[in-house]
Amino acid sequence: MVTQQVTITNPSGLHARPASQFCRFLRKFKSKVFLVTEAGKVDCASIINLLSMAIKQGTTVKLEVTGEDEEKALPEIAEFLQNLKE
Amino acid sequence: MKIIQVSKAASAGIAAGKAFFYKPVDLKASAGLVAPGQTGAELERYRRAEEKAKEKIGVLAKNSDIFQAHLDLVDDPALRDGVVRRISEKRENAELALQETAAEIRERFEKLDDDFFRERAVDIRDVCRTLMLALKGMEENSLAGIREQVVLFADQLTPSDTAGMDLRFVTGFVTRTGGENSHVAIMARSMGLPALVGVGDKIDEVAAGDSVILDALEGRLIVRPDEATAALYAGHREQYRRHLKMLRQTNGLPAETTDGCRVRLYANAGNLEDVKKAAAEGAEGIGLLRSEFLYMQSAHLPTEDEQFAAYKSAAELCGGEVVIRTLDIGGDKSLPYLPFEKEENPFLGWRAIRISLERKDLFRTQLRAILRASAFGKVRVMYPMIISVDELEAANRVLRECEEELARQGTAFDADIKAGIMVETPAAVLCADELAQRADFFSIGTNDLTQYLLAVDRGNKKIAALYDSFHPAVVRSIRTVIEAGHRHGIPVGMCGEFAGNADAVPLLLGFGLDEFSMSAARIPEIRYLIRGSSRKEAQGLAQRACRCASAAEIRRLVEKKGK
Repeated sequence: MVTQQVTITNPSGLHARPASQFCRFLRKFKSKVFLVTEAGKVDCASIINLLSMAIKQGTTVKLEVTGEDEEKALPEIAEFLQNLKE
Repeated sequence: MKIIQVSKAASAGIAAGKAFFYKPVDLKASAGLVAPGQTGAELERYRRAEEKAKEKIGVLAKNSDIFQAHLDLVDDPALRDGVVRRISEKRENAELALQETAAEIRERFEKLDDDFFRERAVDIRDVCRTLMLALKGMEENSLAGIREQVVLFADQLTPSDTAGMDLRFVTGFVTRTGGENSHVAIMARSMGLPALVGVGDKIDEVAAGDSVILDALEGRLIVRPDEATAALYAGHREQYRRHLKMLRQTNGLPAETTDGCRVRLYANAGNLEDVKKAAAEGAEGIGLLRSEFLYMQSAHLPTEDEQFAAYKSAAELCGGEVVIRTLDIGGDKSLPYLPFEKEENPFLGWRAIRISLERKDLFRTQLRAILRASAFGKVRVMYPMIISVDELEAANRVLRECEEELARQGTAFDADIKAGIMVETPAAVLCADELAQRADFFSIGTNDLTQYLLAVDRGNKKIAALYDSFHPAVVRSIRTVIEAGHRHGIPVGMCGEFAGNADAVPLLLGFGLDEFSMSAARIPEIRYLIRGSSRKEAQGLAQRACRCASAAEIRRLVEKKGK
C-alpha cells in the first residue's frame, strides 16, 4: 500500500461533476483507491461514498492506493485531484 | 385574491396558469421475503431493472451532465452491493432491498451539514425511483400528460420530473422543499423556467385548480388574482421577456459607447464560486477578489500554500486580470484564531491595512502567495482602506521585500506586478494626487467611501435613508479621484455597489471611469446601458451633476436621461 496527503483546491470540492470525473479516471487502474479524512475512509469506486464525505475546498485528504499498479497510480491520482478545476 | 410572500426564488421570471399539484405514483415496496431458492431470480430481476433504467436515463444523458452522473449512480457499488447483499443475505425481494438500501444512503446524505452536498440526495432518490419503476414495470408520465397552461406545485421535484415537463404547458414551478443549489433549480435556470423552491407550508395556501401568478422576480405567489392584477402581471411578464431578449442581444459584445469609448467590465468575487460565475456572465476580469473568504472559512491562519492554491485557481478560472485585495477585516468580524479587542468604533478601528502593517507576518504570507500566483495569470494586488502616502509606501516596501526573497529562492513571479489602492476614505480622496504618483491603479470603494464621507453607518436601519451614493459629496469625490488618477496616468476603477447601479452609468462614463466592477449578475444590464450611451453626452451630464445642490437633484438629472 502507498499513501500521500493531498489538499483539494478546486472551488466546489469533490461534488457531483468533479467526483464523477474522479471515479471515471480511477477505472483505468487495477489498484483499489481509498480516501481517508477525519470523517472516515471510503472506497473511491463508489461515487455515493465519495459524495457522502462532502469534501470541500481546502480539505486535506489521505490517498491510499493498494494493488499491483499502486506505485505508478498514486502520483497520477494525486495530480488529478490537485488539478481539478471546477 | 391572496398574495403569498416567499423568499427563495430558484430561477427568475414570471409565470401564470392553473395550479397543478403533482403527486408521484406511490412506489412503496411490498414487504416480503422470498424463498431461499428464489434469491437468484430476484438478483436477475434487479439486474434487468438496472438495464432498463440505464436505457431510459441514457436517452436523457446525451445532452446532460446531470443525467450522465445518474448513469454512474446506477452502477455505483454502494447501491448495487447494498441491494445484492439484502437479497442474498436477508432474502428480501428486489423492491424491498432497493427501497431499504436507498433509504440508508439517503439518510447519510441528509445528515451532511452542507446544503450543496445534502441536495445530492435528490439525485439518488431520482435514480432509485427510476429503478423501482423498472422493477415494477411501470411508467411515470403524469407530467407529460398536462395539456393546459399550469404552474406546477410539488413537495419536491427530481431532475427526471423536470426533464419530463412539457414547456408549452408548464410555465413555472413551486416546491415545498429544496434549495437554490439543487439540480432541479439549476435545470430551471438553464431552461429559463421561473421557479420558487423551499416555500414550506405556504404551499398549502394554494388549492388545485386555483388560478395563480408566480412572480419569481419579487419572490411571491398571487392566488386567484383580480382582473386588474392579472392585467398588470401580463404587462410585467411581457416587459421581462423583452428585457431578457434585449440583454441577450448584447451578450458577448464589448462594453463600448456609441461614440467608441471602451471600458472594462469586471466582476467582484467573494470566493472562487463567484469567479466562475463571473466568467459565465461575461466579466472580462475580477476587479475585486475579497481574500477574506480564505480566512473566514478556515480554522487556522491560511498558510502560504493554501492561499497560493486559491489565488492561482482564481487566476486560471478567470482567464483575465484578477485584482486581489489584501485582508480587509476588523473588529466587526473577528476570526477565531486572530482575536480582536472589542472596540468602540470598529469601522474607525484596527482593521484592513492597519492590521497588515502591524502584523507583518500575516501580510508577508499573503503577499508571497499573491506574488507566486502572479506567475500563473494576470494578478494585481490592492491595499484596502489607505489614508496616507506613508501607508502605501510601507505596504509597497513589504511587497518589494517579498519579491526579493522569492527572487533569491528562484521562485517564479511577475516582476512587473501592479500594486494599487482602494480609494474609500475621505483622506484618500483629498490626497488623491500624491497617492496617484505612487500607486499603479485606483479602485474606488463607494460603499465605505459613502459611509465615511457622510458619517452614516451603513448598517444602521434608522438612518438608512441618509446613506446615498448620489449625494453631491460622493459624486464630486468620484470625479476628483478619477481626474487625479488620469493626471498621473494611472487607470481608475470602481468596485463598490455604485458601479453596478444603472442610474450611475452616465455619471461614471462622463467622469471617464476606466473599469466597472460589480456583482456578476449586474453585468448584462450595465453592458447594455453602456452600449446605448454616448460618452460625449455623458460628459455634459456628469459636469451638470457636479453643480447640483442635492442628491435628489442629481437623481432627477440621471433619471430624466434614462427616460
